[in-house]
Amino acid sequence: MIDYTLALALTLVVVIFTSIGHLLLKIAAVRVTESGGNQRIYTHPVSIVAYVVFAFVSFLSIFAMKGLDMKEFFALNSLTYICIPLLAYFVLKESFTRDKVIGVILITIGVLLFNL
Amino acid sequence: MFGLSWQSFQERIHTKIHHHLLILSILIQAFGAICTKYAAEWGQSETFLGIPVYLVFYLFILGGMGLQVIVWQYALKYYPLSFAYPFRSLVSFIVLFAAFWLFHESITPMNILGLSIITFGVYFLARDKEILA
Repeated sequence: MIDYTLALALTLVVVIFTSIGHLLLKIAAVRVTESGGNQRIYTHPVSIVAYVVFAFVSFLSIFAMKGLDMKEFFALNSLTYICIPLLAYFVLKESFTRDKVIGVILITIGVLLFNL
Repeated sequence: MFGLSWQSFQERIHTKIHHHLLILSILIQAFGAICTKYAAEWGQSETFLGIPVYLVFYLFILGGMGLQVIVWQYALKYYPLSFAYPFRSLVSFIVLFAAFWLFHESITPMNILGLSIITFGVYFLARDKEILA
């Protein structure tokens, strides 16, 4: 077992790296599209970096779950749904629409209620 | 006449296969979650054929992840993201009930309410197709 605070910190690292992995997949998809389909998305170098990130995240999740209940860990993991649009906004300059704002607010409320 | 019914039969089979792909994708994800918890429960000293047990579970997790990527991408060919993604958050409900049955964690009304609101939130996010692809 590991300390609850450390497990929470590890879970947040998992959330951040999962979001980065998704961002990398999106960057790979954009580059493949821009190349006119000459490259394959599954074997694109950026996709492969994303897979490595996901493998690392899975490994880290094992240690995070040593100090957290499984249900808590997965509820907190929903924060990736918030991190991804935020990263997409800052890194990829994607728009932040009304639907995204509603989604982010609802997910935040949901995570807070879950942990009450 | 026969041609039409054969065509509709094929369409029905394909629709069923696509539904099953989505369900399979969700089940694989839940399987990965359960394996992660089992890996966390086992100490680092326990081994299976000389390999630490948590690493055996980790291999299952990685295998499931690879399979999940393929099945999910294939399912996305047939379903709009705004339908498929909120469906995917059903994994949280499976995980919640698995946590109760397998790991004796408690389920509170707030857990159910929280997850339901999260699912609605994911639905709103997925309505915008720029993200979560």
